[in-house]
Amino acid sequence: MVKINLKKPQTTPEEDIFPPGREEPKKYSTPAGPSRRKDTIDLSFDSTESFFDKTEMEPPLEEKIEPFVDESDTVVRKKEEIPETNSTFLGSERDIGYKNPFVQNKIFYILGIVAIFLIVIIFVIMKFWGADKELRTASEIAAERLLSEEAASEKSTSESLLMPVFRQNVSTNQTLNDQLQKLLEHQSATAKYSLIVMTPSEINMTILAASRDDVARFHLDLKKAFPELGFDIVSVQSKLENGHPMIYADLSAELKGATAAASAPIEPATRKIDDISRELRRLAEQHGVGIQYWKEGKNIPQKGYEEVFYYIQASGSRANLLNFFSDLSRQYPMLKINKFSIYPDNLDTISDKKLSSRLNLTYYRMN
Amino acid sequence: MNRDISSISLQEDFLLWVDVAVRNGLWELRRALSESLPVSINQQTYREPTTARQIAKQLSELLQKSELDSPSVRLTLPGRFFLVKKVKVPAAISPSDYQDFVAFEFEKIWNEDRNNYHVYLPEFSRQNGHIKEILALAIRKEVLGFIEEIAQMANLNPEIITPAYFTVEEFFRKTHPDLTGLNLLLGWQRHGYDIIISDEHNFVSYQFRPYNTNFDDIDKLEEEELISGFEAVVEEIQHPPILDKNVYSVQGIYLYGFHFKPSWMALLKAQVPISLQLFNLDEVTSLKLQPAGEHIKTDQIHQFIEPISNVMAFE
Repeated sequence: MVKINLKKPQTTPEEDIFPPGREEPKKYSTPAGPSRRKDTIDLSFDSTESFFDKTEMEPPLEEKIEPFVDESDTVVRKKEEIPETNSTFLGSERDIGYKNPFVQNKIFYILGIVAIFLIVIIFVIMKFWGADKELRTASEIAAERLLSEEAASEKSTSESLLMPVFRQNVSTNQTLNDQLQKLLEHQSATAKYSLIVMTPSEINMTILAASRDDVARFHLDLKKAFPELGFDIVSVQSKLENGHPMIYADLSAELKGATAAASAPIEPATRKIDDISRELRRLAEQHGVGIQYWKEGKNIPQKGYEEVFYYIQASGSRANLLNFFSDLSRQYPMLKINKFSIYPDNLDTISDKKLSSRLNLTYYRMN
Repeated sequence: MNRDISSISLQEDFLLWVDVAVRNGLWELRRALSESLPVSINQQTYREPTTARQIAKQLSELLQKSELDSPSVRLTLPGRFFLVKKVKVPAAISPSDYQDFVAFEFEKIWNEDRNNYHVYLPEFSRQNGHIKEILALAIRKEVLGFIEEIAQMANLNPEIITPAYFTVEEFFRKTHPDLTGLNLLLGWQRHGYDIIISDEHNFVSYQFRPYNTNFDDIDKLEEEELISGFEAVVEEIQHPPILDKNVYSVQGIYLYGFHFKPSWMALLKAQVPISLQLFNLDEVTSLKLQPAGEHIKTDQIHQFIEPISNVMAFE
């Protein structure tokens, strides 16, 4: 049941939720949250900022490579400073004065033995530790190799999983594009398109006509031109346009999407794009289309890939916008058009002048 | 919990007022009245400062005459003050993005600056496959401001301000919980019908239809014109002209409104092959609303459905 209280303080979704200004861009890593309380309608779609912000993504950790030998563990004693004499370590025949030469030599012998003993110990320690390190490194390398093989295997698995999806995406997107082109090519003297909305399963349009009779004639013409679609008139309402009474009519048709051929080739280069935002902006710029709004929506993780939803607003001349759609539908199998709409910017009906479009896409992003 | 509620339904040129006292689970209808407004509310008059003042004075006097002590005040507004639209959005879109879709849909209706409107998204959704249907409601900021100014001048401090058709539909569901299929609630207003369609799940639609193209007052229409107009409206709601098929298949029609005369029932029943009833509480057992005093009789309940519904709908 519908309950709404216009009086209530703005704390619930019932309330006026439109923001007074632009909504803050959504960060890449932040999931969609509940709607915020707003005072007025925010229809300023002038933001050109990309919400695909990677600044919050952590850089990959660099693998720490431990030194083979840690110098702090090296126990190498410096030789004791020997009084400056001409004698060698092992003694000499020189006269060293009052000290008992036998005693001095003995000390040197002991020190020498200790030093040798220590060197041996160090050698043994280093040998085994190094071996361990070698083993560890080897095992680590083996593990890494295994992981990378698994990753490669997983990648190839996710690719193989997604290939049918990619083929279907191309088929669906091209069907939508083809239907749009044909609809717009269909001119009528009795009514004009005010809005066309398409999803993979249906086409909805709003037309503007001078009278109900004109609506009926347009409907007949449409049915003749597109007999496979079977358009129905869904609603009719009268409206004043610039002081003149006009009729708005909504029409709807079921769209049966084409099934992709199992062997249809998909270019490897088109399967994965690292930065979809940049890529689509590049495509839009190439066709003289402006992107006014870009928003990332839900992110649904799957095995080996994720589905990321995007909502885009774009505008341009009719020819440019249609060319943009055409390339988008053919060249990006990892994108699926869920819904798009096309409507005139400042006029009531679609013409050759500036049009705007809203696109809802799913991006199949491989891990 | 005991409490007192004064519920006011404003129309363009008159008001309905009910005082309800809730005592130990029993709803006592203490007062029910209808009065013409000192000034009709239209696009010109609501911008004049004297209009709000005059209406506020009337409401304030009525409040003072109430038997209830410090009642909570609730207000419904005519459906014609609002634009209501169902918007289809892909189910994958998160609710925080609904505003974009709604604004886009309303752009096709408005002929003026979009910032002149408040837009609301009541809690409502239907889903059909991967498409979700949400409800959007718009009212001119000037109009809502006008109503709030009246309330402020009259010291009403209403706890609820809402369109009448939502409360009527909610009240209908509460009083007829076992009904299935589409039902048509037809409110007979001064200049036309409030047409509300409801099904067993939720509100379906609302529209206003004048009695004739001249927008004549119901009191000026001949009975025969009213009866034939009723038949045409019921047919047109279900099967609008030039559409290929029925939009709705109505199971039952419930009539209410201050201007409806029960004496018309027999004539109306003969016009349409659909079950026709008066929207009152005669057969309602789930709700105990007792007229207390001589202000209203049970067979007049249908005239005050709008203010009564605003008392019950939020309980």
